[in-house]
Amino acid sequence: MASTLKKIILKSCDGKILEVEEAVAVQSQMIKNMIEDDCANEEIPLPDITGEILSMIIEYCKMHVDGENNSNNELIARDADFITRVDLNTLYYLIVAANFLNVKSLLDLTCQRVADIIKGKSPEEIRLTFNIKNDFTPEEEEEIRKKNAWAFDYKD
Amino acid sequence: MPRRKRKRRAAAETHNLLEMPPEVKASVLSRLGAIDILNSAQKVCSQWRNICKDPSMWRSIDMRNSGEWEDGRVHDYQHSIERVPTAVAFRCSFYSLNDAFHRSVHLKHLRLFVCYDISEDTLGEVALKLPCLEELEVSICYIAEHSLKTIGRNCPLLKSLKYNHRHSEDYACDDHALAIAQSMPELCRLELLGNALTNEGLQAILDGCRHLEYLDLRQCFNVHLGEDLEKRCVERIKTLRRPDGSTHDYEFFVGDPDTLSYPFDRISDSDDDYDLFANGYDHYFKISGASESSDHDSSGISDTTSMNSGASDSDE
Repeated sequence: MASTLKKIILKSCDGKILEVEEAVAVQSQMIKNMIEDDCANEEIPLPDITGEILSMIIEYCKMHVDGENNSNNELIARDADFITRVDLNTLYYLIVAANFLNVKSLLDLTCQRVADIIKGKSPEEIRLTFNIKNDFTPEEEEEIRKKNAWAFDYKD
Repeated sequence: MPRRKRKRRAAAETHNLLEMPPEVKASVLSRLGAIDILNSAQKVCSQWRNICKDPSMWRSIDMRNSGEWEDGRVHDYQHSIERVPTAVAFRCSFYSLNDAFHRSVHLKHLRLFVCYDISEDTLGEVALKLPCLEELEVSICYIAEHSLKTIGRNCPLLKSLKYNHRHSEDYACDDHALAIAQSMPELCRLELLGNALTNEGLQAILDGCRHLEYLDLRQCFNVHLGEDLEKRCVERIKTLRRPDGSTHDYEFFVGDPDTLSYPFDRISDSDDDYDLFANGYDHYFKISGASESSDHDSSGISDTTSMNSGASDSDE
């Protein structure tokens, strides 16, 4: 039966070829658009996505297609299990790939994961975690300290 | 110095969040809530600071711990509190809420839970300051019926009320139902999980709230849907959660009859807070702007079919 289902062929940047059932592949809005435009009959090259990341994304999409009849809570639990297994570096690549392929639920999940990691951390802890350079001048630092409610400089 | 070398390599391998597409960065930061943006995100680097200046970043404020809010911190966050459309308060006292919301004319969604020292009539006073309120949730804490009336009269845009407070099973009382029926004619969505109302209260709600589309009566064991009342509900309400309906998708645990009313011994220290939430603590605080209805709807569909299947105009 599986052979009668249409397969989409994806090629990662490191040359890995993956055959994916159409129902799974269309979780990606980008691929869905390509299928609708009849541009998905040959292999689709994905220049910025490695085979490892692509496999993870397909695993995620498959989980959502297979779990369509499951309860909301079950899907939430599966999503949580999927995302907490992912380290920061992989998370970064997943976000970039989910954004490129336009898999909205995965993009939501990964962005939320990053937000959850940021929550409750001090600015310095955030910089360390994500390897961000503090580029404020001493004057700017002082200004931030003084003016906590800068965002709304409106007059009463 | 091998240790240093290793550290540097690890840092080089960690991808910098700054390299992500701008819309993704904005999406991440907008999920933080006002306090993390104010305290941390805007102080990380100039790029994040610029993103944080966008008003769309300020969507919700998460007021979890009363101690912090009573310590003068409300004042520090006043500018944020005034601007956000959504606030979630957990274990906050009335005094801190009253202080916090005294200029929150933009607030549309307010969720209060386990705010157990809100005294009987004070929530009404808070509501006086929230003319734009569209959605109010009060879970695991008590509201007096006259507070409900004050809220109804002063929040004319109120479309959704969630008041989940479990009463003991041998107690029957329609005061809250009557207050809602009299003062909140525009309600579209009403959740009264565990309420003590009877058939009479339900009739009053059906008469008073003509726009009601969603009604949750789970665990309301004084309501006995006979043939006529059931027919009336089906005709009027798109989605009805019956008193004996499953509570599997309810946010809090409902197994223990005391859990919905006074679970304070269970939440005496913060580690135990998690136990209250069926789907996990952070899930509850996850608020994505004003799109509240979508997650309500997805969770509300599952066991409503028993009611809707008999109706010709079922929405499924």
